[in-house]
Amino acid sequence: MRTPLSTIDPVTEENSERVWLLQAAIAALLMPGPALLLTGVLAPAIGIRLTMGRTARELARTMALFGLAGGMPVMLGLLAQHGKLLLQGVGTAFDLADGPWRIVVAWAWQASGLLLAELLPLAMELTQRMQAEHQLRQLAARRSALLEEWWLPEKS
Amino acid sequence: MSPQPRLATPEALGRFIAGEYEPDLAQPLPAYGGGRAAYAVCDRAGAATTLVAIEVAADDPPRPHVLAVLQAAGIASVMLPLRHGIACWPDGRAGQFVVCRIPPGRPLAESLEENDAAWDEPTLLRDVLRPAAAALAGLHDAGITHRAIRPDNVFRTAAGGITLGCAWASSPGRLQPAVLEPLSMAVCMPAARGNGQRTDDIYALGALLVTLLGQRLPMAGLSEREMLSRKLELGSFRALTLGLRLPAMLGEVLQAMLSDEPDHRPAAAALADAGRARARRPATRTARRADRPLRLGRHEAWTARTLAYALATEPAAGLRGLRDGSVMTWLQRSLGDPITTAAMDALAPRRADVAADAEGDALLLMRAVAMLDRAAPMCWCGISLWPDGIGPALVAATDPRHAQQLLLLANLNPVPAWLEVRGQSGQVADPMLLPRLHRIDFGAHIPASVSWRLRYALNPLLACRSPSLGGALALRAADVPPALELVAVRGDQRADLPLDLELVAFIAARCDRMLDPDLAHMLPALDMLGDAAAVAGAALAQLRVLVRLQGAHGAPTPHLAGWLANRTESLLSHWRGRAQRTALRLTLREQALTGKLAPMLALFDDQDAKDRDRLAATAAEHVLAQLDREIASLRQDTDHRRQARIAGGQIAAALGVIALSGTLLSMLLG
Repeated sequence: MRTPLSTIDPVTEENSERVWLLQAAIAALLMPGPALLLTGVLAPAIGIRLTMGRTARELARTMALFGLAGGMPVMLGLLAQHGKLLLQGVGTAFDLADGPWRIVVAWAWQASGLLLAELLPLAMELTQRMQAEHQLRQLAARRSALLEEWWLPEKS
Repeated sequence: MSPQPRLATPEALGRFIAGEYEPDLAQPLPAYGGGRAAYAVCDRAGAATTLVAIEVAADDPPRPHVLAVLQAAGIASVMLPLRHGIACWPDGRAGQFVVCRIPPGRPLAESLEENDAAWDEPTLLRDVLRPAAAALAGLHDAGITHRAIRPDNVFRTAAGGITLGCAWASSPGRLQPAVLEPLSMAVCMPAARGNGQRTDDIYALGALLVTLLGQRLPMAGLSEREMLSRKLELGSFRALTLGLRLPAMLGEVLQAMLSDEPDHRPAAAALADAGRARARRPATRTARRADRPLRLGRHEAWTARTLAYALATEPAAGLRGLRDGSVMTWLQRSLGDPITTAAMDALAPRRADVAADAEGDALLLMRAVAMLDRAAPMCWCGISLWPDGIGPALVAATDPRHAQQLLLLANLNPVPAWLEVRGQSGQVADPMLLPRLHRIDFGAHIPASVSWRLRYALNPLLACRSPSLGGALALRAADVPPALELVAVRGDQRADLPLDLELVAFIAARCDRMLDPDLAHMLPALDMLGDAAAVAGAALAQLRVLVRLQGAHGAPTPHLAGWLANRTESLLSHWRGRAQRTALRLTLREQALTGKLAPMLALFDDQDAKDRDRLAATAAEHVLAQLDREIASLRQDTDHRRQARIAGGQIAAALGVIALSGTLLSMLLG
């Protein structure tokens, strides 16, 4: 049985998502055109979030940030040109998005975000692992020196 | 630069006897040795002297007490000892010598061999008896017996003087023919005759006079056993003078001198005047003789004395006779001696079923012989000996069975019991005997070392001839380090360790008991060489002992030190710190080069350094444990990796925020 919305604590991670979805639904009802356009622009991030579930949340967030960074000029440019019309009509939104390059640019930004979000943790882990290996070698060398210097019993 | 080691040389070990005289081996003087090898003597400058060095035999130690007394005495007509000690030759061999002045004249034995004109009574009295008696009186007044009056050891000048030869380079009576010895000495093994009594010298002088009268040794051609039997049967005087025509006065004097009762022999001072000696001659008492003999083994006993002799020489048959009562029956019925019979009955209850007990049997036999003949020597398991002869007897014993019996004797120490039976009538000439016996701890050591130790303890002037010394000799414990140094210089080490069992026993006997723990510590390693740890431990114990022997002023022994350093080096592994071990090893080598053993030992005994090393090792163990924990933590550290991944994701997100912010900012700024 689902928990009633009135009892939800928005601070917790799970609940914050529901709050966000609620806010997005309200925004889509109020501004269906931009919501649709934004959905199209952020489709890769949303798709990854939906298909990979909670584990891909960080990835989706990074992609969304990059997608927004890439798609923002287009969207703001369109908003400046069409004004009220864009805010009201879904059809206008489709019209505005007819240029495939506008979406492709935003998706390309998201792809770079995806790459960064995937590679940076790996690179960080690798760096940390190398640091640990180096430290281990230093400790082992010190240990060997101690064993040799003091004729200490080697523990199995 | 480290100092060069000083080489040990034979000179350093003592080329000169007592630092003064050098025996010239190329000039033997056998006539003056009295049966031992003798050589001419040069002084330190190599000049010839009028001295003779008499070599001490390996199995026959000199007489320590006598040498000590006579070196300070001035007794006329005696070949007095001037010095004694060890001399080492350039080839490393060594000998022990007693230096005396060459006596005037030639040995009397030469006149016997050359069949000079027969000795007449006045000549014997004037030229032999009186001067010899005067010389003996001087010795006896000094509390010393000569115990070596025989034709080859008494010298006569053409002018008629007599000099008694050297009797100090061998144990008392050792070289005496049994015929010249009284019965109580003749029955003993030659090395075990002991210092004896003054009257034994009188007997020997009397026998010498008989020899000179007869121009040959009495009873020549008889075996020792036959000679003893004849003396027992006839009495010494009759046996020795059988077939001789004795001058009247000399005959009476000789009868007194050759009495089988020591108390009946005249004193040396009285012999200076033959007439007085003749007048003082005590009445002799004929021994009670049985009407039928008692047969014990090969012997027939007719008197108490011959029974004592039979018991002493036939111990198995004698014990049977004592146990089954046949001896007591014979004493009572045939000899008619109820007092001795009662005493013997009390000594040995007539029980043939008494279980055999070697010690008990030996004690029983010893008491029985002493009871039957108060003048007889101590009889122990078939060996007749005087208590102060135990030491030389142990050295001379070639039969392992005899040696074992002598060891048992020394262990049980029945001398007080023997003296008690004799009513203290006998004199044990060596008052130090019992204390020396008591110093031997028979229970603490293995038999081999006990045997060696006993030999050296009971013979203070017995030189150590251990094979480990490579031909050198050690008379005092302090002689051992330089002798071993010479062995090390020649590379003649025969064993892993410098001190072998014999040397250990020698040092134990010559030194105080403070060294005993160290000496005992090394015995197991000497027994089972091969266990490296035991050898190293024993080497350290030997180093400790040799430090004591080298003392503060001993000559440096660099080669010996190097030898010990090689053997003790493995003990440095007990130090935990490698740097300290290396430093100690270097220091040990440097100290060895100086030849001083004490600083080497100090390296091993430095307790402060050991404590510091132990503390540092404990600290290192703590550090090691800490390192192990860090290493284990690093190897199992998944938390850091996860954090790194999260941080990577966060950085990527931050870059997204920056990109978005940058886009918005660039749009706002146009």
